[in-house]
Amino acid sequence: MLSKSLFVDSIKNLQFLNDNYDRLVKEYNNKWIIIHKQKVIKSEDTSEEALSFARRYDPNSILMKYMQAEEIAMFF
Amino acid sequence: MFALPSSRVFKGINVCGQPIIPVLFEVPAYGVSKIVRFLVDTGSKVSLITEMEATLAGIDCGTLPFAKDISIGFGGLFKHKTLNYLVTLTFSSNNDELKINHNSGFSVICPPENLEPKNREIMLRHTPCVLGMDILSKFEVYLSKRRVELIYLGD
Repeated sequence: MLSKSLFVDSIKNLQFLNDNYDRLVKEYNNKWIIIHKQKVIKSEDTSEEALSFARRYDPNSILMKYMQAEEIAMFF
Repeated sequence: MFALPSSRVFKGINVCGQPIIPVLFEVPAYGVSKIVRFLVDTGSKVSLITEMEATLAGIDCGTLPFAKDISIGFGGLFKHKTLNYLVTLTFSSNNDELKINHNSGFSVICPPENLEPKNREIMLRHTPCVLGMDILSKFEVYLSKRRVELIYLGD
């Protein structure tokens, strides 16, 4: 169960994103955000900039997400 | 009388209308071990990770070969890349872990090389990692606004 803590951290960051989505999408509209320990630690305009910043952290401890207030239809 | 085996239930979370489940994605050949948040997509035949996620995990997508098969999505036909190594997916619950091996050919979705930078960025922003039926067929899948659950059926 070595991976247990990784899952716990990931779920906490996901839950934070979900619980605060409305606020975050207003605050960071059209930005990439990086969440670490249930806090937004950085916002960037491009994926390249966001990746560059994210590389400073353990990738298992962060959540990267592009925030967009405008609805976009997605089909997968 | 005999006791039924306890269900192996793995829970995800509905994030902004999308059912997401965290899975430990491991590629021993690359030394990669990363939690990946997958979209549970029963409409997709195969599972895939994105270039963004692979890059963050430490995989250089530029070195990956293209898959032999062509993919099709709403954007039309395109070529995806492939990880020709063992990939292990670990699902976790409060008291259980389940490892599923994907022996070879895990798909990696990269924006086409001839895509304009603006469109490449849009693709990177919105393309999720997907858990498709190649993996989901091993589970009963329950999805609702409040419930994202995969119940392992066994092999």
